[in-house]
Amino acid sequence: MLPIVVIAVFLLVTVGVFLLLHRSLVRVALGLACLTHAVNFLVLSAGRWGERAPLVTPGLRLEDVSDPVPQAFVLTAIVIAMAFTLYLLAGMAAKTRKGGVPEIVTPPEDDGERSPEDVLAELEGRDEK
Amino acid sequence: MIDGDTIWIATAAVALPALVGAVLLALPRTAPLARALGVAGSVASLLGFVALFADGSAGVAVAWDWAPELFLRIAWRLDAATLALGALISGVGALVLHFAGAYFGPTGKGRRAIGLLAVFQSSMLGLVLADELLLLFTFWELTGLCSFFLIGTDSDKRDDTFAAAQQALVVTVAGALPMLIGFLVLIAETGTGSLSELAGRDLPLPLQTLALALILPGVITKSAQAPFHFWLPGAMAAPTPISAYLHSATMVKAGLVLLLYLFPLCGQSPLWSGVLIPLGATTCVWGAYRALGQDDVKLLMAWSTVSQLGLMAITAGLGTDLAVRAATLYLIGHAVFKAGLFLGVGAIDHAAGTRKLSELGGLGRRAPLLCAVVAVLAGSMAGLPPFAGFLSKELVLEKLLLADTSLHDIAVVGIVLGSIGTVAYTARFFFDVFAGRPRSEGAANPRPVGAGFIVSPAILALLTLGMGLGARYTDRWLLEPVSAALLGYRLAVPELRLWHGVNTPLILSGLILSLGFLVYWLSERRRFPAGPAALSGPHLFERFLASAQVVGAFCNRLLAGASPSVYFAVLLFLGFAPALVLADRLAGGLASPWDPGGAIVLGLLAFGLALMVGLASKVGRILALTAVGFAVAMLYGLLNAPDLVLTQLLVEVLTTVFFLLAVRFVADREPSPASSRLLQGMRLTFAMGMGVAVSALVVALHQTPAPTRIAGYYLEAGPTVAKGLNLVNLVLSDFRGIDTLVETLVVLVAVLGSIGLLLGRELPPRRGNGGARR
Repeated sequence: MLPIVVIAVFLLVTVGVFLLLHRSLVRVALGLACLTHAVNFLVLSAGRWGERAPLVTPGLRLEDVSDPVPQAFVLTAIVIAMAFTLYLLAGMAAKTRKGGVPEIVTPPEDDGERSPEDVLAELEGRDEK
Repeated sequence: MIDGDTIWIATAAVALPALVGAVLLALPRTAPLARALGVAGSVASLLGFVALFADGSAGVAVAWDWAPELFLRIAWRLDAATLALGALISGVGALVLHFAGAYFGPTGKGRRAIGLLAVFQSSMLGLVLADELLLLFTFWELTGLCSFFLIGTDSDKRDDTFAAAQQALVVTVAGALPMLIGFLVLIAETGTGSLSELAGRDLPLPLQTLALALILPGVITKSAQAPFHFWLPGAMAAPTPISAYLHSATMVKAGLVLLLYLFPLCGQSPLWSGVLIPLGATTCVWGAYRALGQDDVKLLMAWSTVSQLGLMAITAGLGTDLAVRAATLYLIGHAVFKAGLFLGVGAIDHAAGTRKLSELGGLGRRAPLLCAVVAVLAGSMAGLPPFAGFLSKELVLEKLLLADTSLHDIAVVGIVLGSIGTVAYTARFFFDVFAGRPRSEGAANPRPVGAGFIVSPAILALLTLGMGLGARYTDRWLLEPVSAALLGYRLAVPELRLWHGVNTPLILSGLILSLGFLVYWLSERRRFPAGPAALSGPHLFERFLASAQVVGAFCNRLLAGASPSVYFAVLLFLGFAPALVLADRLAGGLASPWDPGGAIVLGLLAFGLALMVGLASKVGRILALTAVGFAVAMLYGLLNAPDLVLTQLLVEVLTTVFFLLAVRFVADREPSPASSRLLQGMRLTFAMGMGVAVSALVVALHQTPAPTRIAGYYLEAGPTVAKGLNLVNLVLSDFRGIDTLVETLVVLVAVLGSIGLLLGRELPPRRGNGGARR
């Protein structure tokens, strides 16, 4: 199973990061969903993948069973990701209702270059106050 | 050896000054009592240390075994060395507090200064006595913090005091950071943080060098070695009693004390001599040179301290047990005479109303007692017999001549030049203040010097005289036990004596004295340029602070001000780029057998992802995401995780519903012309890099064998303890139930937040502050 999971993670991360680097929040939301899947597989890969599900059945041997703890963590992560997606969508809808476009805003540029002398002058000016 | 009483006395002796200080700082009404309370606290602490010293206590007194597994416990290392240093700190502290009472008078400022000095005293005592490295570090930083407030005591009066206090704090704290890492390295490598346990260990040489390389910055900055010496003269902006305490007997000695403690541990490293001797020599010579050029007596003393700290660093740097003994004697002797001299300067300032050599003069006849006291202290500093300074300088010279290191020549030049300078500036200080004609009104008609001003320096003068005259007892009662405790064994050396016949050190001493006086005579009324201002420490320090702001602004513009893509990219890069070193594991991961069912699911996943990127319609992309989610669910199935399959399917349906509901109400941005082919290419390249990093991480994680299998526990405990068969469910609902409770809370908050966002009305614009928000 390892090659399958490795390729799946590669595809999910590539697409997820690619979408995340866009300004449109819709794309960012889709990208985050992909990244969530990828990270879930990462968590699962920390444990052992056995032939049997972690259910106690007669004759179950320890070396056959998949680790239950990473699975439990991932289960939690799936639910929380859903809640997060809901919140993101609600925020986007709220932004749209106000007449805007939900996107990542670039802050205004800083006021150009500052030399050490400028900073010193500013500091001295502050001291005079 | 260590019984309950000993622990109690040691803890009380360390903590008592701080308690007194806290009372003074908290209660403004105590101003008239400040001196009495402060001196009482210090004297009680002094008596405690003297009693323990006389008792010969040795061992570790654990006051509070808080978390020994984490090397966190309050434990005092009691031996002759730490107890003698403790007594020195408390004794000088009592005298300085007494002097401070007269200097400040019963004012609020005096109460604050004495209270802070008392707190500082406790931190210094803790530093000297701490057994655990982490405890020592805590006290180390406490002394720095206290000194910040102490140096800034007069900040309402003078503008430069705040800058000086800040400079001292920043320099010493910056040096302490690598030191902390050095301590942690020592703890991690040896498994103990206790100095007394470490002293018995034989550390491998590379570890010694590594630890020393990290710890030395702390020592060098705290003990004002070049090129970080500049904070010490700057700190002279503090009131005189504070300088007398911090910059003679205590804070500046912390680095050297730590050095002496570390000698048995790290003394064999080549860094020991290689760093300490050149830096010490530079400090020693430059400090003496600058002291010669000072007009302000207090600055003269400050530069003299810098020079003598350099001398101690050279001596310790010689790296032999005999040199450690010499450095110890010099350290104690210097603390006594330099504290006395600083207090003497305070008395001179009080009498004549000025500290400038160009305005003083002729005080000898007008204040004879003060003159006599300062003469003794200055004689000790210049290394004249029969004072303690003579003893220690002779010892240093003797060890210097015996020492055999590759840097021997540098050490000799540094110590000899520094000592000649010391004689010259001491002569200049003494004769310009007390001889000749008064050069100002204040010096001609000095105010009487009251008992409050003269008692403390006089006691210190008597002490330095007594230590010199009673050289045999100084050695037997003080130096021998202290150096034995520092080294861990007794040295077989002839007893220290004031007169040990005509030998090389004595001849060298005579030569230094005569050359010193010659320099003094030649240098009368001559200027000593301080070097280019652009290279001076304070200037460079200011430039450094200013450039830190510029670099900060640059980083801010680069990361926060630019496009959000850059912002995300940097975060992702920092998070995952380290995994790129694992990329060579990928081939191994891909080589294992493929599952045919998995290949089909993978095809579905790739198809869904391609649609998600490629489709123009919003609804199309959302359905593509759903397809991806189903593919992921199938992968979970192939990994034998049925609970994940169920959850993923359920959540995927819900998420799709949310997206489809939202799609009507969410505007999407038209792809702007800025999203050029080049930009998309850059995004894709970066994204693929991250993909490689994370998938490599998956391979590495999965192929790293776990030491134990946690599943075994759950297989056992699931049916018996939690009475269930589905282990994942049991983990969520039983074994880690509280996690699940918090998860529910997160979901609840998200739902409530979403409701608020969707239904909430916009708040009316706030008055006043609201305008500031964009």
